[in-house]
Amino acid sequence: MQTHRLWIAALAIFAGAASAGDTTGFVIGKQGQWLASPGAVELDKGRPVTAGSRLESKDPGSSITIAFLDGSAKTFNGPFTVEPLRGPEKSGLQRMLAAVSKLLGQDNRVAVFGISRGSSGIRSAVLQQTGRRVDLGPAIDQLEPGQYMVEFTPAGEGSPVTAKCNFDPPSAASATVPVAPGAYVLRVASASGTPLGAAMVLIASADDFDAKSKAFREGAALTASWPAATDPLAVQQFLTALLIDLQ
Amino acid sequence: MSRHVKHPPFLRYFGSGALVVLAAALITSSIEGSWLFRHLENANLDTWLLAKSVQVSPDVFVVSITDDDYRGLFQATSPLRPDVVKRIVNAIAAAGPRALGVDLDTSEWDANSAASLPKGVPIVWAREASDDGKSLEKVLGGDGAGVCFGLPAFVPDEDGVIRRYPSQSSFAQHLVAACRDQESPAESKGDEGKLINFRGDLGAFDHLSSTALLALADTPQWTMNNPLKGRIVLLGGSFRAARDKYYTPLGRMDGVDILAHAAQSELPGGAVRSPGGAFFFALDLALGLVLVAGTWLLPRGWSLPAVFLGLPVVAFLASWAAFQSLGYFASFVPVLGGVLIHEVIEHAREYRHLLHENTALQHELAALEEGKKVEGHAHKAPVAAHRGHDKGRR
Repeated sequence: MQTHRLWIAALAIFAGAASAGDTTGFVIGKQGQWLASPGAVELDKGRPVTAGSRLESKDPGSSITIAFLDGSAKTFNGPFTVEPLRGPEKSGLQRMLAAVSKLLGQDNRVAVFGISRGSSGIRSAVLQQTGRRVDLGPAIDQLEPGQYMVEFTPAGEGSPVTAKCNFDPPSAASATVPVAPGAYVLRVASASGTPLGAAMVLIASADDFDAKSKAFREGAALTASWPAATDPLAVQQFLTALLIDLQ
Repeated sequence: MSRHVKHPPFLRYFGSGALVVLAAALITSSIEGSWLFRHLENANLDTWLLAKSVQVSPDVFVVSITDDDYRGLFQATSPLRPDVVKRIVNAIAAAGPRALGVDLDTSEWDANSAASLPKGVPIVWAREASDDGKSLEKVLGGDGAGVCFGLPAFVPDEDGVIRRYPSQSSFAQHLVAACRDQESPAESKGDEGKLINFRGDLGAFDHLSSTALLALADTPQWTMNNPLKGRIVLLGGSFRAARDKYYTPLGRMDGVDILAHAAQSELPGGAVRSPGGAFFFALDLALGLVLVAGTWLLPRGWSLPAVFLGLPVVAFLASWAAFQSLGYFASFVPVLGGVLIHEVIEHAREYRHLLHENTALQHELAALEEGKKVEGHAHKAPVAAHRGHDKGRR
């Protein structure tokens, strides 16, 4: 008799746990007081929410933001019931038939986009000049291999100089550019002329390259320690000023 | 006379069947690596992966850097800011995971970065190898000395679909081993890789965005009880600019999710075991021989259509049973094709035999008819005389 009672108690606990549902998300923000039923549990930041529970608030203008365990986050302004993240499990036969029908069905073709990353692929850097060749690698190493048009416009006075670059790192990352060492705005375009972006660069002779490159790396490392909320434009302006200062 | 067609002698039937099945098994074994065979196998494997039951992994958790995180936390700037990545890593480590895998490029970090990282949790850092596999890029801004790293690489098939990951020095291996077996990465060329036992689509793993994680990290509720505790956690980018999506048998998937499936495959009982070696050769052969013996028992008039229609179903079910119960992925089609070929050969033999008999019977019939004609001519005159005699009598 005692054993039976223990079993019944265990089953009741198990049933209670099952009916409570799985955790589907966590409260990450709220305005006003929110309660989850059953149980009228007050919800605070960090508290889990389970599928099937009803969340409501009596405060006017209240809202609650839930981070769900499928990676999404949603804000609710009124009462709602937490939905399960996944539907009911299909039987083995249903799954088998679905898989076979997909195997025998028509293939759905999906387009992919061959777009490059744009200006984020071009960045401020110190470039080494050896004779008339300038190593563009540090500035454009995030671009895909291919043919590009590059244009160097002096930071001070002077006319822009253009060149072609068959970029295929690491063997080919330089271009023949008749420019003197100094700070330039580097503009890069695709072979067909589509602008890809621009950044300030410093062209340094082979003798000066190591020292100037090191100084620039130290400056870039300094920006990495700035607060997360720093405007990226401010970082870029700092690096531009540093390169001009180093010339 | 019996209405049933006579069965061929069992020993002759079984002997020839065994030879055909053995030949099929040997051919299967020898062309396993061919383009055609791989394509047939992949179609079969993809079907079983799609048919798997989707259950949320209790072992692996994914923290994603979503598009919103990329804009909000990183100001839409790549490479990702090391200090923000470190905040996320610290928040994950504080949640008490079993191990953490960071699938982010850290090659341009400051070389002293490793000093300020959490120590209590094994962390595996993603590190790229050069295209020829002979050199490695930097990790945490350094040469990798004292850093636990893995190669977050995949081995695409000829159709460009990711089904495998390297069998040596993989990110998943180090993650599951919690950095206990860091060895020098082996050259990856020629590595066929291990099959990824995909558990289903995105629903196979719990996900949380980085912003949500940072919001939760300092709350007492989360600190006491969170879903990262005791699990293997992967941190990676799902933001569009990361361009880290690949085709898999389940559709397009973020690189970090494929790594999660690979990590799950490394856990005990998680792997898809490929057939190979003496065991599966023997299993193929045994199944073929049992079916040859079984087809002998079928009524001869129906055996060929029964085998023709039934064997694809048997091949399908046998492959399903092996995958679901043993975790083995095996294609029994070639050997069962051998059973079908044997049955066709047997029917061709019987047909030839029947043609011979038919020809002989036709000759005999023709001879009989010729004999009747001769006999008929011989009897015609007396019969006519006899009839005339009868008429006269009437």
